[in-house]
Amino acid sequence: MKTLQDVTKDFFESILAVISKNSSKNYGIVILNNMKKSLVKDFPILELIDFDNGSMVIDAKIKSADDQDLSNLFNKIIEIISPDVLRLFIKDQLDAGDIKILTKIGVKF
Amino acid sequence: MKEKTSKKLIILVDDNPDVLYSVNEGLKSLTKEYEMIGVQSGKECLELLKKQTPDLILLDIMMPEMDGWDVCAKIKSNKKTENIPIVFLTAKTDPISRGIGRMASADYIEKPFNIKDLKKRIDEVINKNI
Repeated sequence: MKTLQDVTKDFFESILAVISKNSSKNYGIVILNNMKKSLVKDFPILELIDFDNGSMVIDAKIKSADDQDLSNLFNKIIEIISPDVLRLFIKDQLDAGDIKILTKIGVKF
Repeated sequence: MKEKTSKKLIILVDDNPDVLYSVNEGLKSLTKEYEMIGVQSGKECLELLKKQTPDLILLDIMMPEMDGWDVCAKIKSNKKTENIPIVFLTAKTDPISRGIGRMASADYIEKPFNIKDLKKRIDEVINKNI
């Protein structure tokens, strides 16, 4: 069974993979960092996620995060990403285990 | 360091010299507010940024060696240049590139463009960043 730490990593890695494929990995990291910078005030849980230097580090404390906080964050990020087809690509990158947990905590693609 | 001039400095990065010429001449014909420096590669742009801090960068995406995505990433990853607004000026007109481009830029303008519209959009970005 995947933990919230695993699913969070998979979620952001899927975003990075889709953006990188259509631009470049460095640009993808810039986008993730921009998102973090603009959302961290409203979603302090982002402090537990680090995108620097191309590696993605998710603090283990996220395992005990509130489901609602995570779901609100993921839904906000999905809302920011457009066009819709990009959201579908991101969903396609996730495996069934990720989707099951994400859906359970209230994430809507 | 910014030049001692009241004109706003724009760096245009495009490997096509015709684009550099036409944008420069087109903007000059419409306004005296902007001074434009044109460079033909991302590498030249990054070198120039060591000496100049422009008010805006117009950046092509499809360029040889280093593409506009990577140039943008380099600029946004450097504390000294991260706040310089970047406007993509590109022939990539698919919705995915547009969506991704808008996530880290101040605007995304597709070629071919109308010079008056380009000026208007440059004005908007520069005025927002004053």
